[in-house]
Amino acid sequence: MRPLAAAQTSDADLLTSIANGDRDAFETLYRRYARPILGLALRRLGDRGRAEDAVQETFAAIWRAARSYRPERGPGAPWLYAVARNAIADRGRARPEPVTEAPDEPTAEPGPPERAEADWVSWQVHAALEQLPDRERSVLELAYWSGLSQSEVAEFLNVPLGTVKTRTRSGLAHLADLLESELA
Amino acid sequence: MTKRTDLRELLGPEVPEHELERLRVAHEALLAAGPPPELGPALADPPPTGGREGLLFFLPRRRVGAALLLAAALAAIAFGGGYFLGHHGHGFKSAHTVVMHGTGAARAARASILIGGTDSGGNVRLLMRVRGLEQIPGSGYYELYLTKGRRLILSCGTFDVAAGAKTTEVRLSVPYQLKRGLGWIVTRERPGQRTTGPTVLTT
Repeated sequence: MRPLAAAQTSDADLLTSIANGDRDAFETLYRRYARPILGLALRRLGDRGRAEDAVQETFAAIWRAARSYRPERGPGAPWLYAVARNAIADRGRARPEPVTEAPDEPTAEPGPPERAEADWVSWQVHAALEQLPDRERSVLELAYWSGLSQSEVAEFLNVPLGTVKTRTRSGLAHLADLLESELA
Repeated sequence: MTKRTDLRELLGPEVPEHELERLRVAHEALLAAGPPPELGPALADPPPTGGREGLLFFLPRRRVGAALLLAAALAAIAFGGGYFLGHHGHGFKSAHTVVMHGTGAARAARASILIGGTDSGGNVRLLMRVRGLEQIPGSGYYELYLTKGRRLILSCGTFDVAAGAKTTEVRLSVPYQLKRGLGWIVTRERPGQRTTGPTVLTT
């Protein structure tokens, strides 16, 4: 269970504390961002081993460079995103992709701008999810990604269907708040 | 997977339209983002911190496999495993859910572990639900391990799945205080083998 106080502490406050050597703040930030960073690294590198290395390198960089973060220049998430992106790019360069021939025709795959936008959206959503209370996050993850129906989620958690709907509603509301404040 | 048109169904008819529109932002964002990955044992804990200049000490990846095998052998000897009980009933109250995903040839497999309260003996009750694992021929079985960092710290027990079973549900308990940062893996085992089998599910 995450402490509520930790969940309410902003990224900027955590980074400021980390800059002063606060190990607890570093751990809180890790709990909040390890999964989003791993997700970003997996999408960019496509290899779990290299992605895990990139996560570790990202947090090493955060610990080293937190003092360079300036709260007056903006919230912490974009700064963290930039640190992660750089660490992932470094890891990608460490083992270059094999040379492939250019396709003859335009591909339907999303281009770099679209991929960057999708990466940023996923990053924000995954980071926001980590800040929800466990019982709301669990219900959302089960409802959206486990393949279970809501009745099955209710049976699985041994709670009434109404409770699942209530937690889904409050979870989505909290998520909307977090995404709104992130975009503000 | 919840479909785009299911938000009203997801929340029920009593949610007013203006609130539904606001929640739709989060709903669409979840659908667009897809599931976040689970952290494997290697990332269960934040890296150790030292001075600002040098700082972090990691186990080289090439040594992880050997360390896991050694730890597995020690854990099996030290703990002897927990136990599973057949389960088809209800009444399990959980405070936390752990989601596991498949790896390698079992990439499509999924599992969830509901972590409940402690029994009178102080054991933590767990309810595990597994989908997508195939029945192992012969005397093979699956084994659930609790992990911390890159170490296997406890064998929680073994189980099998029936051929063609959509979902397998098992109850178990572990004589261990579960704290944040612990991970889980399921391995595919054969009797008589000296080392831990391949991991088929991980957190």
